Amino acid sequence: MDNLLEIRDLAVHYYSNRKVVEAVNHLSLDMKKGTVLGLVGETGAGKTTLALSIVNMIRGPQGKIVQGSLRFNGKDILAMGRQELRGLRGKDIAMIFQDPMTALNPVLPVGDQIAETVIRHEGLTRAQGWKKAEEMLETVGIPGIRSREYPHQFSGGMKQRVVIALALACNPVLLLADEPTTALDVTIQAQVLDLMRKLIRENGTSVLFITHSLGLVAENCDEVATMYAGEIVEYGTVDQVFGRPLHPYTRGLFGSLPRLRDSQRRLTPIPGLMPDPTALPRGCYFAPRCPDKMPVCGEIHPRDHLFEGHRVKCHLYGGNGREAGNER
Amino acid sequence: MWRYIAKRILMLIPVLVGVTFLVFSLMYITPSDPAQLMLGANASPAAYAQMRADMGLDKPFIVQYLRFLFGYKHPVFGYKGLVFGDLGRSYITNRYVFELILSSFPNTALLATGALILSIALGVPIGILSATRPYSFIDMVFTVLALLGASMPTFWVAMVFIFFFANRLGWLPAMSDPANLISIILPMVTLSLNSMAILMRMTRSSMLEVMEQDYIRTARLKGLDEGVVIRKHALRNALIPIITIAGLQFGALLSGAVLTEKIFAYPGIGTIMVDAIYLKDTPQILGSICFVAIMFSLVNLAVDIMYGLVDPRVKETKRGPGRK
Repeated sequence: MDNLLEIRDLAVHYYSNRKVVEAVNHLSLDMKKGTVLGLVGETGAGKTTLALSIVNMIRGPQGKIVQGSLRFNGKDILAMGRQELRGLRGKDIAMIFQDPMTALNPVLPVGDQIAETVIRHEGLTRAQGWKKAEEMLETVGIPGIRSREYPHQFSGGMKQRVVIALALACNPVLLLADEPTTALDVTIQAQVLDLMRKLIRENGTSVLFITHSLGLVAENCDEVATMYAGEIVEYGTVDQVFGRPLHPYTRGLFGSLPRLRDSQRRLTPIPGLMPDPTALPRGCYFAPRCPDKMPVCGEIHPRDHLFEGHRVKCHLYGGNGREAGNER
Repeated sequence: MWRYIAKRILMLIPVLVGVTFLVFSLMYITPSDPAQLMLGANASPAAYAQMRADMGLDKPFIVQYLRFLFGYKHPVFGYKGLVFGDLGRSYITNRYVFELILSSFPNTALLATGALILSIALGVPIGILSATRPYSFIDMVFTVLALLGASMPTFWVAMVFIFFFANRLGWLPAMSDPANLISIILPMVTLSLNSMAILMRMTRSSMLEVMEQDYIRTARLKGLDEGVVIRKHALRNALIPIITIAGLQFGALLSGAVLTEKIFAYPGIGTIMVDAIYLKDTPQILGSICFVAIMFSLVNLAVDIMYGLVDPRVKETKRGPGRK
């Protein structure tokens, strides 16, 4: 099998004040080895929750993976013991966070923070660990001697590079990049992305690239998954999805992008807000905002429909809709 | 760093001027007359007037205060002044004021240090334990205990302890004496209860806050053991407010063990202060209070320096401008 990661029917709930927040709902997703998968969606769609589920880091007692399975390299992550999980985190699966300002421990030198990971996973001595940390810093363009310095002595972009060095220190198989450039200036964004692209290509790392920028997806990813209210509503290769977006939500995302060519047209934002995750609608979650809404959309939750590997969760493509597709 | 320390020590000067001025004013307006005290009730008006003049009590307030600071020349009652470390002799015992303070301070320091070590040794680990299992049964138990510890008045605890451990059980002596370390146990435990409770609560809330931070999530995502995450990543960050509280507690213990010392008849600086106040021994009162104020400020300075050891961000700002 060539699937690195197989997520089946995953559901993650958060519990607060007797309300149940359904953050991820019956989500299934595969990732092939060596691909870069872009995960796009609005704030609150459940992207970070999904990423944290992959390393079984949903924090109890508020958060809980209530059903589904997660297989990484064929092994069931949810069945792993604590020790096995710790062996996985930081070694096989690493994560880059949105905000480099808070992701690094302020009272420890950056070198130490990288070194402890390699010492933990590769059984190096302290001296070897520090040496490796310095090498990693050099790889991301930070002089090795700065390893003794503390996070507050670095700028935001440099901190994110430290975080990248940290994430890649053990040559992970899968990198979860949770909006790695959102908190950075635009010029720094480009630098950090170039660096990530280079390192990912060199190591053959698979990446789950979480973002809400379609532009970044087009530039960096092989495949795209659109996430809405805890579900993957559309999934396909970049060519498929960008060439012909099927789901009205994905089309809406494209509609809210500015285009340079036609300057007279105003942007068309998607009306309304994402549904309250404590009270999701009965039918399609996107129906209240959907421009192509049909009577069935408010009643029955849509299934996945397939077109040559391009997957969409919408009644429009369900046979009795306007466009016929070959169902699974 | 040294410049910072020097600056902080210089800042002690205005603090001390303020403290002494306040204490001196209070002593000035209290209805007590040292001259009367020295001579007894049956002295003649002429002798009384002479004594007031000798002691310098006939001069206006501000002159008296300046003499207190910079000295007063007189064959019997003269002294070099606070600035030169001399406040003369006690009206009652005729011993030098600072002699008595210096002989009793080590006793207080012993008691306060013991109490602080005890409250840190128990309060901080229990706080961490509570923070790693918030709202669990064990956390609830310690929360109730901490509430008790913080709300029971020290003097009452002291008396209850004496009643049980000295009178009823006879395990420990009621009177306490620095020469006999066993006898210090009761006052030490009494003193530590309050600060232990405060440290426990502080550690718990500080740890809970830190455990929610992103860098703790980063540490867990590195695959580190939970013990390492808590000790290396969380505790050092949580220590910053804990050090502040421990320092303040130590300052308070050094200066304010008054009730406990008195109840256990312990010859520390608190006992001296209370005795001096009873006897209206002005030089001794002023001397003790100034000494305690200096100690308190020095402890605070030590706490500020310790921040730099724990938090690298503080060291940076303390270096001041001009150096990098």
